[in-house]
Formats: sequence, C-alpha cells, structure tokens
Amino acid sequence: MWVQGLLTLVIASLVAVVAVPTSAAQSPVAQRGGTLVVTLDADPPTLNPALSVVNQTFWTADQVYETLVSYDAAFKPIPRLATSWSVSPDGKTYRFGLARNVKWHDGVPFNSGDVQYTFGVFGPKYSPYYKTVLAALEAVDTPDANTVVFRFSKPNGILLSLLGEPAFAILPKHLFEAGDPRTNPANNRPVGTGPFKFKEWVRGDHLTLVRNDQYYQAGLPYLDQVIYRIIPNAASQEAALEQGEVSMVLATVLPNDARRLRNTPGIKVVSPSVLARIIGLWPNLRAEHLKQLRVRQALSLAADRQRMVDEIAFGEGTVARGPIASTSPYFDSSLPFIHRNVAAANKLLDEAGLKRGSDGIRFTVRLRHVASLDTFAKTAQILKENYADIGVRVDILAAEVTTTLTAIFINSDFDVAVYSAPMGPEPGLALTQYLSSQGLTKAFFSNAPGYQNLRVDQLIAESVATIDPTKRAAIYREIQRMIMVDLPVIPLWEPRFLTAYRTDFENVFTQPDDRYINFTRTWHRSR
Amino acid sequence: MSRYWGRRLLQAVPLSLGVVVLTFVLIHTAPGDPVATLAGEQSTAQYQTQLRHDLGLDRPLYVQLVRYVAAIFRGNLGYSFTFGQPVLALILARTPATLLLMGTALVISTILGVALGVETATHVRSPWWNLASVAAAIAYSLPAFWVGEILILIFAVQFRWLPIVGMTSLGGYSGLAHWLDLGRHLVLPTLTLVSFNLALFARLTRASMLEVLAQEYVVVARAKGLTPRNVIYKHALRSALLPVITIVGLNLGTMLAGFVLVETVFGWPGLGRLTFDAVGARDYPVISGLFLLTSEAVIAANLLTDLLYGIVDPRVRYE
Repeated sequence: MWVQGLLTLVIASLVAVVAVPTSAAQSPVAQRGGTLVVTLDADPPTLNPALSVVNQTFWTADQVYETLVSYDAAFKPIPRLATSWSVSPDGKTYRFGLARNVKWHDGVPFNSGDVQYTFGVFGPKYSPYYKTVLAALEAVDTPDANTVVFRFSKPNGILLSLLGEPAFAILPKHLFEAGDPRTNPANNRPVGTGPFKFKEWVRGDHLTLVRNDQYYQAGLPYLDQVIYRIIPNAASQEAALEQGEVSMVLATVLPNDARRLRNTPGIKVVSPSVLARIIGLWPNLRAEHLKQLRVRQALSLAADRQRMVDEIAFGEGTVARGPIASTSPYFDSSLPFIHRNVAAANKLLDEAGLKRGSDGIRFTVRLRHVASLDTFAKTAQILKENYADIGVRVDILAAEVTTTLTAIFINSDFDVAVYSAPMGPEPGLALTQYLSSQGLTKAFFSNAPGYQNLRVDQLIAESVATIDPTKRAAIYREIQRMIMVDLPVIPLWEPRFLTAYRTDFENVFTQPDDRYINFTRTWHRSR
Repeated sequence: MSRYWGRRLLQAVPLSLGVVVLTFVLIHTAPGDPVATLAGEQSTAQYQTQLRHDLGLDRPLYVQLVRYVAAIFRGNLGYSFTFGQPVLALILARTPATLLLMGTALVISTILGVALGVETATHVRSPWWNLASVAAAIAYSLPAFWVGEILILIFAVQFRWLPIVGMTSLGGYSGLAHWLDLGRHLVLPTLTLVSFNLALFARLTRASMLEVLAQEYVVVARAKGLTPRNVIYKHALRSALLPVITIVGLNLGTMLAGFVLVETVFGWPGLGRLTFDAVGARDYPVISGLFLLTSEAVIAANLLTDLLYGIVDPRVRYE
C-alpha cells in the first residue's frame, strides 16, 4: 500500500518549473547560442560515469547522461529523468515516475528498462560505487515503461541524496547489453538523454559537446556548445580565463590567485560544496602513544588552525570544528571552535606521563602525507612546528599517492597522517567506510585509524536507515559530538574548491557542489 | 656495411627485451598499488579485490611478466583502464604532437646552437658573443617549467600575441589557417625547449671548434689562402660537429624527460603529459609501453647517429 508520507513527494509545482524553459525570475532574457569553454586539468579516464571515480568524468558526462534526480542550490532533490517519486513508510521501497517522450541521442526511446538495466545489471557488476551505496538493493521492478520500483532488503534513508550523483546516471541498455561494458566504445563516445550530445574528443586537447536539439525539455539548453579544454597547469588555466580564451576554471583556482580574480572585472569566483571535506590529522590508534586520548587531545589543542587557513589557503577556507565540513547541510554548528592552547596541551601530555627528555622531546611521531598535494605538505610543516612547542617531534614521510595510501590504509605503517576524506553529501556512507567497525577492512579508503565505538557504529547504521532528514540530521549531530570526544580524527581546516567564470554567462553554477555542475540552463549574454 | 647494420639491429633485440624486463620489474616493485587511484574513495574492499584480480595484479610477478612479454610479441601492449583505451592506440595518438614539438625544437636549437658555438669560437674576444653565450648558459640553468610560465606571462597574458595552451585553437581552422594556428601554438613551447638546449649545443660546438681550429690542417687551409668563411664552415665545422651529433643522439632520452614538464605547462597533448599522468596513476601497462617505445626510439636514434657519423666524417668505416 502506497502512502504519500512525510517525504512522499509528487512535485507537480517543481515539474512545472522544470518544464518551463525560462522561469521569469531566474533568467528573464535568456538568449540562445554561445559556447562555454571549461577547463579540465586532465582528460577524463572514460566518459562513462558509472565506471569512473573522478570529477573529470562527472563534469563532462553529466551533460550527456542524466540521473533520476538532481539538486537545487540547497541540496533538495529536484526532478530530472524521474518527474515524481514516493517512498514506502518502512523506507524499503521507492517508486519513481519517469519523464515521457525522452529519447537517447541515437533516436531510441528511453524507458524504465534502461533504469532497471543500470541499477539491476550494470551497476552491481561494474561500478565502484554501487556496492557501497546500494548493497541492500534487492530488485528493480518495471511495472510499466514509465515507472520503476526499487526494493531494498533494509530501510534506505539516503537514496535521494545519492541518486543525483553523476555516477548513478542512467545508461542506454541497448548499447551496453552485449559484450564487456568496460571496453564498450560508448564509454568514449557516450550516447545519453541529456541536453548536450557528444561531438568529439581530442585527448589531451579538448572535448566538444553540442546542443541536443531534440531535448525533451522544450527550449533547452540555451548554449550551442560546451567545450572542455584540457589544461593541466592551474596558473595556465587562470591566464586563459583572464585572457578570455576559456569561460570557466572549474574547481581548480589557486587560493592565492582567488582575490586577484575576484577583483578582476568580468570574473566571478564561487565555491559551493556539500562534499564537506576537511583536512584532518588521522592518528593510528594502534600506535603506542596515539592510543591515549590525552595525547590526541594535546595534538588537537597544539595545532594552529587559523595559521593554516591564513598561510595555506590565503583565507579561502575556514578552521574545522568537526569531522564534517561546515558547508554540509548536516554540519553541527554547535561544535566549539578549537583555539590553540600550548599550555593545556603540555599539561595533558604531562598527565599522560610523557615527560620531556634531556633534549626537550617527549616522543616522536611519523607523519605521512601525499607529497604531490601542496596543501597537505604545508599542513604537515605547520604541524611539525606546532608540535615542537609541546615536545613532540614529527618525522614527515612524504611520498606519492599510491605509496602513501598503501602505507596508511593497507599496511597501517604510520603514526599520524594528514588526510582528507569526503564526508558528503550524505555523511552516513563515508562514516561507515572511514570510522565504523564495518570499515576495519585494511582496504584502501577504509577505517585507517582503527577506530571502534559501538555506539557510533549503531548511530551510523541508524543514520543511513532514517528517511526523515531532520531526524537524520539529529543523529549526525550526535555522531559528530562523539567523534570530537574520541578524536579518531583531529579536524584541522576546511579547504575550498574555487571555481571562476566569466560573468557574460548566466546560470553557470547553480548546483550545491561542482560534483553536480550542469549547463542545461546556462546561457550567454551576447551583448 | 650491410653486415654491420644487420649486427647492430640484432643487438637491438636483446637490448629491447632487457629494457622491457627491467622496466617491468622496476615499476612493479616500486611501492604503491594502482588500485588506490583506480578504485576511488568510495569503493568497497570487495570491489578493490575484484579490481586487483581483473587487472591480474594478484598473480605472482613472474607470471605477470611472462604474460606481458608474450603479449608484446603479439603486438599487444595491453589495455589501460585509467584511460579506457588500448595502450598502443593511446601512445600512437599522442606521438605526432610530441614528434612535431621535438622536431621543431631540435632543428631550431641545433641550428642556432651550432651557429652560436661557431661564432663564439671564432670571435673569442667579442664581448657581444660572449654575452650571448652567458645568456644561453643562464637559460640552460633555469627550470623549464618556470621559463614556460614566464613566457606565457609575457607573450600570452601581457601582450596577447600568442595563445597560452594547447596545440590548436578551439573552433578549428582548415587549410593554411590551420597550419598558421598550429605554428602560433608551437612558438612558446618550442622557445622553452630551445632555451634549454641552445646553450648545451652552443658550448659543445664552441669547445669542439676551438680544438679543431688549432689543428694543423686548419692552419694549412688558412695558409692556402682560403677565405675564413670557407675554412670555418667547410673544413673546421665538419669535424667539430661529430661530438655534437653524438650528444644530440644521446640527448634524445633526456629530451623526452624534459617534455614531461613542458607539455604539462603548455597543455601540449603529447607523450610527456601521458607519462606524467600514467606514473601518477601507476598505470603499469601505459608506463611499460611508454618506456618500451621511448627506449626503442633512443636505440633508433643511436643507430641514426652512427649513420650520420659516416656521412660527416668519411674516415669512419663500418666494420
């Protein structure tokens, strides 16, 4: 029996808004035409979002493929390929009504079979992401061509926060069914339902998408083309933007250039984010001294967070107060700021019985970080200086990505690590992976600190099963407070991923995070 | 002579095999696991195990090596999951861009370097030529990526004479306009590479010229009443070029390394950037493929150097 419950949304009004191309308030004089040129620092590895884990794929493929839902600026799900949805009170069944008259770019009609194939066949077998998110998905039913029903074995409270991820784009069954989808030519020449069609991809140089004139939302999109220009070097990207060679530098603006660009007429700098990353110090709780709470508290108190924000991010960031960044809708804003207090930190270490030796040193920790990440390296340097004040010597072990991650996650060969995990958009998933007992797998991107708190485990499990976002937020708040008591991660600062674009484009970045950036409604002011 | 070439070519076979085995072992024994970059931050342990299996990384190293070498003999360099393409296609697609940049830079820096070397050797007391020589030495000692950035700042950002990045303009041209556009994009990366190589070739030519100019046959040529120009370019330079040719040939490998930086700064879609990306991702098949092909190129360049020797110096005989 279907109940139109609390979160049961049939969003007629939103559908109306979506169906009308020029919503008067937003873009009174939207003009057709124009080319948006966006920078990418590297080629996408593939244009199949379900096979990829990197933004270069998401930023490009999400213009060609479409997800069931997308998000407004406040991270509320809004219709895309699904125009309506409802969820059963037990949170185990989701029913979606699909948009009609939708065609793939090759002319084949889109229907519920494509959704079933994507979530029921392709995803579970080939996607890195499905197993994390949809482990309890039992079946995807298709009562008719325009309806799909997801059935879970356990309540799923967070599905709608994730269905808008580009990784969950709906794939054309008729093109992927036969053969090994991982080597399917469509991975490099995508055929989607979206506002832009694939035109060409000159690897290392550019990737061109052109307007889909048969797009099912009449009048959209406005732009003739979206071209991605591959420019590996951030300084070169910014120079190209200033010169007008490109229209947008996506998420790679250097913090020390942000102020200059902000003051440049015709350029706007923004940084919306719900992925809620913080840069933190991850202690190995199996290591001799770090298993002591007082030591972790001392390390937290001795860190000069404001200096990191000022000197590393040039003010383009903020100090961290908890494991989830303040940009997340689930951030607990009641968490206190942690001010540097060397005396209190020293006192804690004294109480822990860690006396200073004749050289003034209490103990030494080995700090690991990925060498190529400049922000991590500078954070490590500041910590080294900070901890010298409390008699803790830091030996920095910097190496490239794979070596460092192997040491941290697989071999547990570290005392502390400067690391950053995405805690959004729905913290429950990342918390399961990085800070619950379920994450004690010694795999990459798992619970590297070795943290175990049964109450936290229980709360994390509850969070992902709770449908009501208000109740879920309350659970997340409790988890954040408990983590700040146990300190399995010492939050330091929140970086921002800065995007700059030329202001002769409108509706350029209306999404809550660059992960979801979409140019369906972007238009170019020619005069 | 054909016997000599046959022997040289035969020598190249075990050399190539050695390169394959050595690079394979080196890359695979370096710490770090490609799964770390392929699987993504939100993957499960189960997915990572599956991925390692699919990539064949859970097999013993010697099994992986034997399979790799066997595949190479079938002309298959493997498949790159990082780039979603067969390795050979990936490398071949990037090769023309690098060859174009390398060829242009090599030709210009060789001609200019040799000319500068000759002039500084024959005008030992001229302050201007010495200044030019010092300037070249300074350019040589500056890091290539920094020179690139400065050139971008001056010529592309400040004066807007030249494009900042890429190989062609967006939108595309055809015919002559396409080649002119390509030429404009070539200027700055070429200049960066030339600034590095110029001093090397100039100093080498200079030293070699000074040595040759002091030899008796040059004195004899002068005594015969030949014009200085004739003496320098026809008699002296020909022998002075031998070590320069050797260095150009030997330098090919080093040049390819320099391309990693220059192509990254200028967004040039060539092999240098591919190497950079592949090493970062621990893409074993791509790295091995690149090493194999570049070492073959170096071997080929050395063969070519030997051939040029014979042309420049008729005394060289192939036994």
